[in-house]
Amino acid sequence: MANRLKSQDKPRGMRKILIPLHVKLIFPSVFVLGLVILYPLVSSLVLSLFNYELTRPDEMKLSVLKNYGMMIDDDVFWLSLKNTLVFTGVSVGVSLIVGLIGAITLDQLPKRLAGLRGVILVPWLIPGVIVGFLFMLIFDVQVGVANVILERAGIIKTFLPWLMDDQLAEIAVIIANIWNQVPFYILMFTAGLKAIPAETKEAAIVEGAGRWQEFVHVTLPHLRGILIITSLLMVIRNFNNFPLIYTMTGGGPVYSTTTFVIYIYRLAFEQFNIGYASAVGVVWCLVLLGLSSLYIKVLTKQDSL
Amino acid sequence: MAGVKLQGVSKVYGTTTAVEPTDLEIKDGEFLVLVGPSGCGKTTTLRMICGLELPSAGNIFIGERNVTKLEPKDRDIAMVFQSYALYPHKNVYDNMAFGLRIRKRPKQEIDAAVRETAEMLGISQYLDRFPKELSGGQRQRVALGRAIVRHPQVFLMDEPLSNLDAKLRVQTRAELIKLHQKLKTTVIYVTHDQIEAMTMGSRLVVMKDGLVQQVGSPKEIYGYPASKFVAGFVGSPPMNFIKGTVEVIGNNLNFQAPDLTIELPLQEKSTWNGKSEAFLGIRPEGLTQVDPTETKNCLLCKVEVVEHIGAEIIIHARLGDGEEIVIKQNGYEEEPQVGSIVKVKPHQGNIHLFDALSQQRIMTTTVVDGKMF
Repeated sequence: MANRLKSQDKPRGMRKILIPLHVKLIFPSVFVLGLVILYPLVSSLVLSLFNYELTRPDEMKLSVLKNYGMMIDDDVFWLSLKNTLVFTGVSVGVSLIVGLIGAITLDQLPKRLAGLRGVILVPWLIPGVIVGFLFMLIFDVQVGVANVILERAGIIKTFLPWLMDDQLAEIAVIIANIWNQVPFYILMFTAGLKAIPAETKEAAIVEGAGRWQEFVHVTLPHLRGILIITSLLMVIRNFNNFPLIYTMTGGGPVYSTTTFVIYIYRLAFEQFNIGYASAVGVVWCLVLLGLSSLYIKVLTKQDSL
Repeated sequence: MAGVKLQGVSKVYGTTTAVEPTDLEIKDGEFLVLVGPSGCGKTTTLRMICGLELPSAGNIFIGERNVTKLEPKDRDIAMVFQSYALYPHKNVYDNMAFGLRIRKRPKQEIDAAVRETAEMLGISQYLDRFPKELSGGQRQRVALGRAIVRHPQVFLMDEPLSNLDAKLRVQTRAELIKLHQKLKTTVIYVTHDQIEAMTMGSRLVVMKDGLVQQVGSPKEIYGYPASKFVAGFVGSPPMNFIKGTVEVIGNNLNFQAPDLTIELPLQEKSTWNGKSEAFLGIRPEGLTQVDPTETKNCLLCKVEVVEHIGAEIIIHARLGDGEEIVIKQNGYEEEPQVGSIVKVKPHQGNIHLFDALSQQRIMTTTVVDGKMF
């Protein structure tokens, strides 16, 4: 199977390099991946050093740290960072709790209602864009279900301008996101719950623990590992959340629901400031790199959790 | 400390009966063993006494209290699980203190109780360790300690020695017996191992398919098994069973099998006359080699396998009609050659007759030095 050196066939200086078969087989995939991942990465890094606006390509010139300097003074940059943190933090936090309650409830369902588990998963299966459209309708000022229900329940007197108000839009987007992602948490926690040995729970009960005490002393410690890993994974995922938010609000009103990712997109394709967008993109990449390393570190330390 | 009483307790799952209606009385301070093969209902019975399962019918009393509908925590019992079920995220001290802390005992009381129990079990130096840092035997002691520390009225143990290696099992068995003698608390112990049952229990409850086969002391169970199942379950190597027919002739009960005729003196007036199919049961240690000139009550067999265990020799032989027979003899005596034909005869212990249909014991004859009584 090894390649033979065919040095005798070629003129001097040209010898075939010994390439193992497995390298040859992997090469096409690596090449494509490299093209799709590495090229834009390097390209962004390079572009971030330029003052480059798509509308004025002739005025493209190298100004190494200009874009990075702009970021510090850019209010929208910091706003988008805050929005990202709020969006991610609240989404993950609330989904965690709702997911845990959901998993525990599902775990105690009688066998005949087992089909319900499949139904619970449905929101997770819907693509972000569709969810965005769905909740755009739900939160519509005039005909949206949200306003109708709230008004009928007596919680509000007049219809709320959901997607047109700064804070309401943020809330709406977070609600849509939670609805979309809770099934994943339920799935993960259900797996975690199933892994808890029944005898340990029974031991706690025999010793006198009530349901809450059993939960705190037996169930929760067993779930700690899964809780941390799921949260980290979803933090990374939510940092990157684009389709849902962009579909629902486009990042608006103004910039109130613009997260980091959306800001990069808008800089590049609404303001056509490629250079600056690339710079923000680079910063973004570094943040994600940090988070991912943390995730991998925690994942490999699972045994001690 | 209290006794336990079961009145008509049964457990049914759908159409399967796990435990038939059972009456049982366990005296205060007794070490009762529920023994039987897998699926016989012993663990289910234990769980019903514990409160982890609700009986389908019947009542359970601990002491004078009817605890049938009570939660486990209100029954004043402690359970040791087969897998020990320690809390993996708590150290040994917290594992043992958990039950007392839940009951809001004062801190000093908890500390004293935990340390005293740890001392008694020899695990004081492990109080800071976590379960995963302990060996199987150490974990088992922590599980015991967790139960002892609460001073319950009854200890329930579900095959606590099953997960230990053979040597540790023997050692821990002795320790458990000593512990019971010291604490004098009622213990209900479940095991499938008949040796454990025989060595540990003051009384045994032999179960099969949800039904109690026999209740009695180890000596009673061994010497006077109520059914063929109990006879074959207890004792190692197991009892020999030879199928044949039984007939009353004069003052004797004649047992007839191919190659064997045994005359047994009639014990009590039997209720049946004429012939009936039966099994003759003789324990391996009850048989001995005899001179080929002997004719009465003898079995002729061919030696197939000879096992040396040291103090004993186990001989596997085959009767003329193909049935297998096991003989146990003294390890210091000369053993027969493999392939040789030997004549054996009951010389000690009990011979039992079991009805072939009902499997129940018809009669027991005690043999002393070859003479039957």
